[in-house]
Amino acid sequence: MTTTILSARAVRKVYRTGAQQVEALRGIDLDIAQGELVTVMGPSGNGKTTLLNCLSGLDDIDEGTVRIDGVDIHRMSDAKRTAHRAARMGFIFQAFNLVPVLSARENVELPLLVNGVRPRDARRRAQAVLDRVGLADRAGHRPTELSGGEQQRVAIARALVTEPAIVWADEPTGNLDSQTAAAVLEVLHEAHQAGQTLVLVTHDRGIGASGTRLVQVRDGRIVHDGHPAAALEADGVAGPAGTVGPAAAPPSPEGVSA
Amino acid sequence: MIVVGLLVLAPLAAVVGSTLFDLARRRSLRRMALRNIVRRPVEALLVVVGASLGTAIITSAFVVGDTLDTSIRNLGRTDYGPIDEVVETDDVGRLDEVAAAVRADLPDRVDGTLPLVWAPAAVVAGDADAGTGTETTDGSPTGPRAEPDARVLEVDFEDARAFGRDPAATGLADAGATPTGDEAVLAEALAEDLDVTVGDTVEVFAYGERHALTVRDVLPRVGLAGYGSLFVAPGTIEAMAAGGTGTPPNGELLVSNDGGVFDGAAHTDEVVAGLEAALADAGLARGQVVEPVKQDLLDTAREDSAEIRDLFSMLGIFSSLVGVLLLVNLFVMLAEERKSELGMLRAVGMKRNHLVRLFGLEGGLYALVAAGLGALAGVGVGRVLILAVEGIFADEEGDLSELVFDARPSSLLTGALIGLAISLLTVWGTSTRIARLNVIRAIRDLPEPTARRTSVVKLLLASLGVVLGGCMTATGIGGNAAVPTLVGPAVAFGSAVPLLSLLLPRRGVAAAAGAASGLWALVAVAAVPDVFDEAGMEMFVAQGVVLVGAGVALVSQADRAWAWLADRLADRGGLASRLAMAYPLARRVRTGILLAMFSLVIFTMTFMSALGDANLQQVPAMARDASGGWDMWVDSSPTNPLTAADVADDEDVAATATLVHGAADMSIRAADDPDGEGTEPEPWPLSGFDTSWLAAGVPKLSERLDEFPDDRAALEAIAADPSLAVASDTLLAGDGPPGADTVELGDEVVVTDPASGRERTFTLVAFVDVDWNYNGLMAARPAVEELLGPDAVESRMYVDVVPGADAEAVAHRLNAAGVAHGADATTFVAAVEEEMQELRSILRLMQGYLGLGLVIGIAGLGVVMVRAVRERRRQIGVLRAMGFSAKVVRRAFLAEAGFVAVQGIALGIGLGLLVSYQMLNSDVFGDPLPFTMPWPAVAVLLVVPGGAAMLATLAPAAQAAAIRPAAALRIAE
Repeated sequence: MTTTILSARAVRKVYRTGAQQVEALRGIDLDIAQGELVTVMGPSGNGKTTLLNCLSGLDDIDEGTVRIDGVDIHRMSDAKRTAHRAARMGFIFQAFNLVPVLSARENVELPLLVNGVRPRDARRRAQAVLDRVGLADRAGHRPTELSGGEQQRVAIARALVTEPAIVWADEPTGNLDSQTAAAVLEVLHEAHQAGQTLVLVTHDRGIGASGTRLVQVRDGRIVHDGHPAAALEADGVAGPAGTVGPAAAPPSPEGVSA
Repeated sequence: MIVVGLLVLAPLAAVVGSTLFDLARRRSLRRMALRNIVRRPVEALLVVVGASLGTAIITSAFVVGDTLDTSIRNLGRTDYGPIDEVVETDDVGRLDEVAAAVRADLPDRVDGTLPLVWAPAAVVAGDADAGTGTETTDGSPTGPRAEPDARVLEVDFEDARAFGRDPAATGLADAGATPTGDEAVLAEALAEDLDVTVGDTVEVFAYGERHALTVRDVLPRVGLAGYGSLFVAPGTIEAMAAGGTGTPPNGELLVSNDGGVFDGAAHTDEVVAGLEAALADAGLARGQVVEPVKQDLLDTAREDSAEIRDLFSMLGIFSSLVGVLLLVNLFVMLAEERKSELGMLRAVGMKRNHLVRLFGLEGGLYALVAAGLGALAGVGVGRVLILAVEGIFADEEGDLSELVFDARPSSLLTGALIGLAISLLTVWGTSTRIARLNVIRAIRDLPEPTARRTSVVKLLLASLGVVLGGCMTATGIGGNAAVPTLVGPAVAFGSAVPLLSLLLPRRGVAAAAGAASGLWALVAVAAVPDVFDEAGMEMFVAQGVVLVGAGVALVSQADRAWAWLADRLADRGGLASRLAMAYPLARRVRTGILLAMFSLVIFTMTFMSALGDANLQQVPAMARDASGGWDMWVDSSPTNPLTAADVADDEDVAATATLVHGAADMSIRAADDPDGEGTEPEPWPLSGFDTSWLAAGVPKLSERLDEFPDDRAALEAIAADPSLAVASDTLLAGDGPPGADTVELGDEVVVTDPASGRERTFTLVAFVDVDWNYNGLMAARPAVEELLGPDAVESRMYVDVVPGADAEAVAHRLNAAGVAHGADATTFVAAVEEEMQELRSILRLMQGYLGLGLVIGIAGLGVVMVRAVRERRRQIGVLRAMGFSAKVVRRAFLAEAGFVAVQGIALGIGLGLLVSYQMLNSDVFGDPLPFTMPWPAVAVLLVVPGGAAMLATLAPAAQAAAIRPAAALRIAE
């Protein structure tokens, strides 16, 4: 039996710039179960990143509810929501977004320290995760001394180190060449295989196809939520050839509805 | 100097030329520069304010100089009016003969002469016997108001009004007829001191006589009404002097040159020569002296104002340097913010020099506005400084107790131009560095990688730097020049870093260079003392800059130590502290600039506090050393001197001794050049003493010839031998650098009585430690009496009080009892303490002036933190996404500012204490002084700038804490 980690209902988000209003999300309903690897695709400017930000609590919503572990995160105070995020979520960004003045290990330690882990334990755990992503020997280097792929692997390590309930990844391979991107994706898949829940925003059809479930967003609405193969076929794409994703799409998930 | 001028002016001309050309002809550059200014009005304002502060500081130094110059020159109007030269005669009876001789052979360029007679006298308000309860002008609790040293004049008012071409300039235009009988006409200042007005009675005491007068008129301080303080009927002074003792009345022939009050002085040399020729032709050369009083005054005004302008300008260098560092920081940050934009401009075809000119043009416009605003602000700063100076000297009796504020357009223009030049050169220098960007990295906003190899150009420049530093050091030591001696090694060591880094680890090499530069700056004074003998403020500025630079270099290399501390803080849960330290440690150049901004100013302020405290601690010892066992000295009117019998009634007076005291023209002839002409004669105090002066003890001598076993033996020998003398080793050092020795043991002093022309030569065999009460040259009493003749009067008395008596109270009583003698008693403790308090006040004023630099430093830190919030917006967004609370982000920013400020403050205080300890223990200020820790100053310097830095960071910290993670990441992504 699968457990629902996230449940979003009628989520609406409007951006306001002066007199202009842009409705970025128009009544989103979405449930995510533990252990899923959900990929989110859609054209640029159609609300993928906004969806990620609103579901993770990084941004406020205008209407609707987002429950994580049964708790409506948008009803929490900013401080509580921040603490909840620290304890239950990890983030990976396209531009890596490591703190440039800290070493790789120090970057990975940060979420642990925020969660009150003793510095000595934090160091040990950070080192272990860096080992897991193949960067044990680069732990003392600062981001400027690492390649793009290495930086993103540090970012993944940072997202995984607290063993969060859910990891949000926004275009994690967008800044990488195909070979490096494949290596990074490999790390993410390993995490998923180890039971980690992942939500992955991407433009890459191959990556989109590599999830257990694909959500397609257009004009602020979910237009497809289901097995990746079905959506990609509907778009006239036979498969993930020529992409960085795994060679075959995973089987269709069960018990998940849009 | 010419080379230095060219080195500054040539690039400046190029920069100004390029800026003007681009402004006029390069439309695209002009458009972009102007739009950048409009686009970021807050940044533009910050840059303008930062640049204008330096200009304000420089301009204020000029304004202070203007005010002093105008104030002294104003004395030409208030105290001299039409008087340009004075012919002094040693025999008042010969005055008519002298006047006739001059008038018979009137030199060209003279438009009038006026004979007058005057005498110093004590003047008392009302009836001197009339009771008590009022107070004297020195604040004594009892006795009537009195002026101990008034200048009583006899002059024909009708003739005086015709003297010179402008009756108003004489001050007697509306004074009516010449006083007759018991009438007195008072100058305003004396009337105010005595608190008398028309119709009141005053009593004049001179030559053992008292004379009651009725005030007929009070005149404003202009011309002759400033030259004298009390006008009496002709014959009054002579009648009082007849048969009395004391210095005889003075006869003077006043001379007015063609032209007005100030421009007449231009003919001084010609007129003085003509007057001396006329006197010589009449056989009156001996016994008469021509004094160019107006010209001397104007020279003093020029020299003193230049001195004070230089002093404040030198101090202003520290603050201006801080302003330069602020500008560099601001421009580097502007460039960082526009990095991708600049990369795009390069990508679409703009050359590197276009980028430099674009920034140069934008910065030039900022600098222009800042120069104007700064010059105007400098007037305000100068006004505040003048008010503070007036406050310090408010209790001083002196001609300059009221300053006439003046800010000349030429000073404002000069200040503005200097500020503009500094800003332009800084902006262009920084722009050149900024323009060296990698196009791709700039467009993608990627950090610059650490350079793996040192370029050949850099190595060549480094080699040149080593050679230049070496040459500077060699020429400095060889030519006894302090600044190159201090700066040269630092230039060489600093330049050697890139070279030695090829062989050794850079961190160690940089630390060693910093340590070596700092060490040299500390020990140079002891290692090559001759080089620093004549050094002034510029040496201190150079030493401060080198030490701070070395200190910052050392601290910057200590990042491993800080990282260790950061780890320990993190172990204790100090997540904010860890983040706070990470940024400054990673950005060493920017942090170094900020550290230098703080420590430059704090260093100077600490040094001044330590110096002031050390001097104040010395008051009892200094008073003991200077007093020779006496408690006080009492000066009295030379026409009615106080005698031992006059003070014998006071039961607390244990003993007295008198000196004959006057003034004479003195010239120094060096011992190693006995046949030389000697220095230009200058008037200086002269005192004669006998062994009675040594009855209470002996004043401390700083030096004496080896033939004397102790100080007493030396002084007894001088008292007995009319050819020997003792003085301060700064004899005749009126205009020289403070503290510099002017004489050596064995030098001869040729002393001439200006009135009689009598001459005598004394050999200096000992030096007093400090000449607190201006005894001047001290010699055997008979020798001085013979030299000064009737002007040798016992007008100075030393008094010893009985054990347990309150010396201050005795001094007040003596002033009250001796009012008719113009008694002015001062205890040694009070004199030394007053002098030290004044010194401390001046040091505090300078600290306040330097505090302006600190304001720039704090503003600079605030600006850096504002910029940091913008630069790190994305990183803050990530941290917030990861779960960092707003509170932690805010704390991290505050802790970061605190970390930088505390480092800078600690470095400045540490270096300030180190240098003051070293200097006080050396003989730079005379004898070594014990170092005392200026705890209150240290506490203030820690708390106030530190607190202000935190306050300046509150707003950016709050801004950082308010960043919404999604918004920050959305913009970034």
